[in-house]
Amino acid sequence: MKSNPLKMNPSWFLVPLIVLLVFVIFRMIGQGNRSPGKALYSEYCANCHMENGQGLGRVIPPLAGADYLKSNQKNLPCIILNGLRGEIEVNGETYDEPMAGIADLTAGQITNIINYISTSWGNDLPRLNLAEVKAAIEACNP
Amino acid sequence: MNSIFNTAIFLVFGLLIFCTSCTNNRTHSPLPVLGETEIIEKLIDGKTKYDTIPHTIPDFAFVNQDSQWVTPESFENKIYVADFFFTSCPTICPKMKAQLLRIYEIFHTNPEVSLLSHSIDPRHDTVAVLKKYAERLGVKAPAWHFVTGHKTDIYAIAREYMATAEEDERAPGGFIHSGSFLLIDKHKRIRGNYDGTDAKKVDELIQDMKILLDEE
Repeated sequence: MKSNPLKMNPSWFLVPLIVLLVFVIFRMIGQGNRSPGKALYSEYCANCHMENGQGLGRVIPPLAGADYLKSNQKNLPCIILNGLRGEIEVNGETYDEPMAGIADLTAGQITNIINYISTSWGNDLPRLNLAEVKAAIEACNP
Repeated sequence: MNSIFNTAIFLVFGLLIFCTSCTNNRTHSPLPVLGETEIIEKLIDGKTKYDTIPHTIPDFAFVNQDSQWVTPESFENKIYVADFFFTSCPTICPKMKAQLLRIYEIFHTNPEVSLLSHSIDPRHDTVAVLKKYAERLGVKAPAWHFVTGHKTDIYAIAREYMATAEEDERAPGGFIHSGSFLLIDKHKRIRGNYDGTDAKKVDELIQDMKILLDEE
């Protein structure tokens, strides 16, 4: 049976097309929500802590499964902003190579980075919100 | 019938030739020799002859993490991988070290292989600093030398290795340097230049090291 496609009821393909578009848009938004932290991590942190959060020997501590993150969550904003000097212990090993801070990160970016680290590579730490990060940054010792 | 037979023979031979030449490049072709060649004049029996000599790494003397001198003699009968870094580097160096660690893990028990990491910040990277760094990476000389020395000597030798290393206050950490790993054979010739921040390139380097060890 021959049918003239131009005479077909347009809603036959318009409805599924719209559904598809909406689906794709929501997926993209969903990815957008996730990717800022990951993209920021890749740009600012992965050079040293590596993409998989493993660190480097006993020179650079891991972030994956690091007990230090759990007991120092409130300090993380200041550490990311101002760096860290002095000896610390992570998972039973000591590290004392200085970490450079990244002074031009915004509170929003720092929040995204912390939340990415807290929920990656098996880490399951509570997320921080912007207000908490801002408050922590106010109270940083320079 | 005749033409079918001929075609069949042709195909069989073709297939044989094709299959025997169809091997992984990295397992068969000899590695290139990199660097600028030098042409030298020789007088033999009253006639001037010209010889092309490949670029070789010239003499050097640096001190490693154990306060030992490291010179070309340290690499006699060895192939080695050379790179340039500094311990306080915030950008490419940790990745480079992570990749060198891969190589170390594979080859550190092989007496014909060594790694040579030069610090381009000798003012900060003293023997003591390098010693601590090497220990914290869990590695030892002579399988992996971390060397320091006069800044001018290190920058000059970097040029011989075709690697970039310079002070630059605009660069993060204060130094510009390439993430190259240079593969050196037993005759001080550069046989490969690999991006040390790229795991795939380092895979190739590891393959090439095995080829080089089989050479001669």
